[in-house]
Amino acid sequence: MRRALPWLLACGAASCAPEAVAPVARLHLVDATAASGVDLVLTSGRRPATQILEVKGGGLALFDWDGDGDLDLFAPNGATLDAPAHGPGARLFENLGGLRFRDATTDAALDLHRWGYGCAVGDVDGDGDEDVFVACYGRDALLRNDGGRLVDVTTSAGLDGEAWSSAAAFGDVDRDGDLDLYVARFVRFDAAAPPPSMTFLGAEVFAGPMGLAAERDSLYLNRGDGTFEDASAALGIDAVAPAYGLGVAILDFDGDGWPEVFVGNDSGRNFLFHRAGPGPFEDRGVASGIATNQDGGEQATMGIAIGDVDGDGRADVFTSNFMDDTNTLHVNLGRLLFEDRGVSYGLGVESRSYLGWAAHFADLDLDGDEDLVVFNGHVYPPEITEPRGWRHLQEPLCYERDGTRFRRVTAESGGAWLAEAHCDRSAVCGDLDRDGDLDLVVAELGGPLRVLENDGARGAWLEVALDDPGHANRRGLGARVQLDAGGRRQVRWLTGGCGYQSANPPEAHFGLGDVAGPVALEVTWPDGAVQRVADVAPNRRVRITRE
Amino acid sequence: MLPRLALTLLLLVAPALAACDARTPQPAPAAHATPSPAERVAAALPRFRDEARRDAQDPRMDAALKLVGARDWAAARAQLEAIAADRPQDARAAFLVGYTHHKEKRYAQARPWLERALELGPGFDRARSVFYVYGWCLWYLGEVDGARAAFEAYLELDPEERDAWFGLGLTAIQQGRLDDAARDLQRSVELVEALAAQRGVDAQLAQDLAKAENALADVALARDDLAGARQHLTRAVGAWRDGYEAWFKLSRVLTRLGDDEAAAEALRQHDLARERLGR
Repeated sequence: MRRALPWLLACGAASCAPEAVAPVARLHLVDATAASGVDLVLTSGRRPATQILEVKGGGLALFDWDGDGDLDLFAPNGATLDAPAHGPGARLFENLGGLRFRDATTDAALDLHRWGYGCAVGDVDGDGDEDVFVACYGRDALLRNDGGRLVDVTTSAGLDGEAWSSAAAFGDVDRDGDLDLYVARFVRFDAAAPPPSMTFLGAEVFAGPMGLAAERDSLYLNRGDGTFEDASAALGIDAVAPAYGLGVAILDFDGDGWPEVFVGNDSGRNFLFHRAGPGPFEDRGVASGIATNQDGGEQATMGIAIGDVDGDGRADVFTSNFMDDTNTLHVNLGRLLFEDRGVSYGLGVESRSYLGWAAHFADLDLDGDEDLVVFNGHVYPPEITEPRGWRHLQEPLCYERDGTRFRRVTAESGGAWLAEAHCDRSAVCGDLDRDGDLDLVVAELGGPLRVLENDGARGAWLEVALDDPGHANRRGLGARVQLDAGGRRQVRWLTGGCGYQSANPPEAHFGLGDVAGPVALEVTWPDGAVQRVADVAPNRRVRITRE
Repeated sequence: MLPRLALTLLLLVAPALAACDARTPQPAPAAHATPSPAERVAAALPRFRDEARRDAQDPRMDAALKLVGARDWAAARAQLEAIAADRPQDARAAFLVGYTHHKEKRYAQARPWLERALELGPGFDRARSVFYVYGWCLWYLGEVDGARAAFEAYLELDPEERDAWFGLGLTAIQQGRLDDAARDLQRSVELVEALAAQRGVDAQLAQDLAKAENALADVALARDDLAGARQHLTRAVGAWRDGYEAWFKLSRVLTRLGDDEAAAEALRQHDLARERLGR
């Protein structure tokens, strides 16, 4: 949005007078792609798709590539079946401010032409800038950010396995202060000898994932010297049967100081790797209730969103799913127990006609509670979907809070983007123009990236970034940020993973509604240390440095 | 959620008139952008209150009905589409084309045919079943408001249909109307129990009882009433031991109640039930 707001780069004292804001919340976004300079049409095989490899990705990353305080956009891009290791190449767009970008691919010496899927962003070497991992079909890529040059250090880092990696997330799983890496993998697939087709609800469709062999996930521990050690066997990740992984999120779900790894699996049970100490992880997916929906049904988990929907301070998990199934909201009950309450929150049955991917909790209207947006699109080509009444192109689902439930936002109130059908996959969410509200970038399968500008929000806001100079994980990936204002508590998690195959900026964004006075923040750092900051004035971006 | 009524009505319908050649199907479905499903239901309901009207039947209908009875949906649909193409005002043909799609989980394809049947009907025996199938179709398409309207319309015409009460209860849960949900689902339970008292418990009644109790447990869970949920789920698995959804839910409830041993056993029963059903 283009309204004037004060822009304060540092956390002020309590005496800072917050701007008076009109307490009228309105969720509304507009497509601002044309003027943005983001001109990438993604490659993901050819249309119509003939193999599963062409329909599962890929992701995006939104991070501060050049350290200038705003969010730059990275797209790994895909390739084609005839040349899966030689695609058109990843692209980087530098944020110029005012929602304008320029292509900085050359400036970043970015030369990555693999079939990219998931993105993870984190400062793996603790040098203060953000590095990028790209989960690929074939060889993965670790791009170390050396002052803006994205240098491929995959081999020297020990991360160049050959498989179909679908998603990845950084997190400090061993609590040693640096960022480890979890890589989710999908199926064994040989592009040169693709599997024969199968039948789905009477239609002949491309094979997979059911019937194809699943690939094992990997957990890599950061040795702190620029290399990673595959700890999948030692830490129990290999103890589970491989599954069709599509998403991963690393955070401390039970608040015991040891992060869990949640893995969203297609056509099977989700994993929740848990440990309460330095020993191996144990999959608590089934025991916790997060492996399946409320009926014990295995789903096809695609996107993952983390938020506190019931205001109890715990991380709840929303997952998007395949058509003819419902999206799922696993409410965190504590003690590592989850209950699927998608239906009672109004998120269940309505999603049956949609095949969901990227999902985000975000306070788009700045009214003090998190809304939910889900991007959709079918996997099968229109030649198969349309005659059967399944829509290949599907519009997003957007919900705002209505008491204890979610209520769908219509295009009439939320903007034309909610009526426009696409075949979307990933999306990243962040304040692109640094005006205090959250914007979105959406990746459509084989389509142009779309920049959605938030032009509706009216409430007060606060953006929180973290800085931990004493640890390699400087931006506090895995931290929990709690805001208390006017008797209400809001919590955000700076989570590796989430969305769909994407990396969102490590920032906690809060809408404050009509709160005018200072607020209190409580940061739980990834190692469990708690830091409180009082009297933070709203309507600004603050950076909290660890004491 | 089995449209038993529709099957029943098919077997009741008499054969009819002159033969016509099959042609390329002409579904001529009604547009469903506007009016809304609820508006369609409201517009159709007054006509369906008079079910005495009987339209002339196509002689091919008998053969098509036999295929429907044999659950040969594709073959039945081919015949029914031919009838519908020749007789665009034939409400029953339109309904049955939609029904065959519905049975094959092609809900988006079923919908326009069912809407056409709503526009054309009644005209055949137990034509009110259109509302029932339309309700479930909309439910599976995620259109809760429309599903609710369709179930309510059906229940006005046939208040003793337990599965429509069950569907109505599900829409109420989805819409957060928990008191309504409890009432509607309880009505479904009562109807099942009344039938069981009359004719004894058969497999279908047991399953219907189980799924209604299972849904009542959802209401209890939404109210954080763990004891109530446990009670309903215990009834559900008691009525139908293959109801793996209820076993799973029961295991979650027992875990939350701190009875880990019973929870583990319920989870084991869930796995066994799935195994028995080949899931």
